[in-house]
Amino acid sequence: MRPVFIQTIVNGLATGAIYALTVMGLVMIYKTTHVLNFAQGEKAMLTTFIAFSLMATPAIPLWAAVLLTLVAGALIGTFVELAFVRHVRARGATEGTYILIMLGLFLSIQGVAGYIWGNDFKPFPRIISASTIKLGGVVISLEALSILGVTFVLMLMLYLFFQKTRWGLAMRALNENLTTALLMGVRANRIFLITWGIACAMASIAGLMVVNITYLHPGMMLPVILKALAGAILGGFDSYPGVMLGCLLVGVMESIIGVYISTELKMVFAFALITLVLIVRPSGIMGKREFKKV
Amino acid sequence: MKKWWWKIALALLLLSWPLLTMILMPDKTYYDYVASLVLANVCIAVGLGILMGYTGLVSLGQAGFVAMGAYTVGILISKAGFDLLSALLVAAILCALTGFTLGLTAVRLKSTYLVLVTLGFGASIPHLLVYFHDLTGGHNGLQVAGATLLGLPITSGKQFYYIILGVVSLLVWCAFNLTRSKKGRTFRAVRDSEIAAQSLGINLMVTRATAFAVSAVYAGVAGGLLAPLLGYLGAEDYNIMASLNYLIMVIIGGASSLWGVMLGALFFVVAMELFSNSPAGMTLVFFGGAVIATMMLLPRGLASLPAVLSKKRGALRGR
Repeated sequence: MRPVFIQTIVNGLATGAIYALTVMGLVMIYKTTHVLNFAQGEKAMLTTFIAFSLMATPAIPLWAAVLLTLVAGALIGTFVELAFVRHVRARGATEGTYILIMLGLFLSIQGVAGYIWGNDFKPFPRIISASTIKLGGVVISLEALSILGVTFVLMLMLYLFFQKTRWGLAMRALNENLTTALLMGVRANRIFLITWGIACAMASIAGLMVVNITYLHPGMMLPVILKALAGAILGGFDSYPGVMLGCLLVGVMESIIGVYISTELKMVFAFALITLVLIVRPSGIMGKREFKKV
Repeated sequence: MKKWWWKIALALLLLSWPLLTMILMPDKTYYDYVASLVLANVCIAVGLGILMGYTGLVSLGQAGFVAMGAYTVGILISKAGFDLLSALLVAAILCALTGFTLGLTAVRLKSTYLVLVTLGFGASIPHLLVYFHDLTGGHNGLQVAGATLLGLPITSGKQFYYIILGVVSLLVWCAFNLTRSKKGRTFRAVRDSEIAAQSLGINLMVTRATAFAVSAVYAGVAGGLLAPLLGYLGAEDYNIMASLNYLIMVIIGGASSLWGVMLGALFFVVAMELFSNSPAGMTLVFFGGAVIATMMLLPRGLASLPAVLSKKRGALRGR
């Protein structure tokens, strides 16, 4: 195979991994609490701005800045659950209500970030060096490799969390059946809070990865979350491996179209293909078929 | 009914608005422009209201249809010398066909996934506009000039206002009749229960696709009406954020009432104009906050405010 093609695939996989990182928290929140967190990308954007300010402070070392960013992400997530979602849930809201509240948050967070830091494009200090590795004739950037590495480790941790810990078990139980889970003694409110915290901390990692390949800007996450969401739905929203697969597919697809057809048409082709797949398989590639009882 | 007199008052106000601005502020055309903007947005919002409130489908890609209408009219007027009305007709047909096709995908998809398909449509349109830059001007934008109505050139903002008022009033009147017609009841049946509607012999596919086509026509015609008024079309003005604006109007106004939706459009455009000089980001914070507040305190939008208030008053009186 030609080296350009392999490079395109690797870059596509790295982009797809970023999509997976961005959307994984969203899927986690959706599965546990049935809130489609449209604002997930904007939370990542906000924490990246926080990281930007932390890193600009000379007294704070890099590792502490990253750690503080994760904590900030978790705090923002728990705040959203406490301040908005819990109140509406108590009233028995539908999924549509949640989506619209998240839409409001999406706008507000973008506005707040624009107000505090300004709407211009800022270069973000590099966390990962820009050097490349040569394997045969193929040039692979260290960025792409580290993004893939971070994603792999996080996914492994997430898998172990869901399968081996009590909190993970409780989250799966809440997804399966809320009432039964409550009767079995799952503290739903606490688990919801933990879900939001973990998911938004993951979003802040995603933000740090995204900003490596673009500029820092209040609107930077919108194209990412669009395609990440597309990947998640393509793979099947209710299966974590499916989400991962879907996102990687979207990344690779986009990369191939960008190199061989047209950069301007990346988005158009990606969405056209996803729509076609969804028409054939409405629950995504790995999703479960849904049946309705009358 | 006590309702008829305020409808007449509204009609009088709308008809005399350019005269009022001429008397009160003779040197400014700004208020005619804002009023035209409100009317065009009312049209888009009513279309989206039929889709969201009456059929229960959400579209996050309305700006795509607005762009389609605007560019069709813009290109036909300035490059092919079409009359405004015939250009609008072409735009409406094009939007109806696209909307119908997009709506066909809605049949097999869950609501969350449908949101994605419309989102993808909305996100794709600006890219397509840039890609076909020979026709659309791409990043440089498209100048729209020389609009005529029935052969007569349209020159002033006041003339545009009356044209927009005429077309939008007609469409809004159609919308009210549609919601009371058999088709409108089919829309609501599908919204309330897909399965029950199907068991009554309602064709789900055609109903949803029709609702999409209707909302697309409303958006496209409004876009086409605005094209000669704005005089300049830029591909980036029709991005996802623009689509979100239409959603905000419908949510704040209350999707299940056409009057509410129109109120939402008015609220949005006026607030947008008031905020035009505010620091970066404040507009977004305001509208984001307004959407959250609406969903948490007044889930049925501004349209339900009178009912909620009178209920509260009743409770205070100890009823």
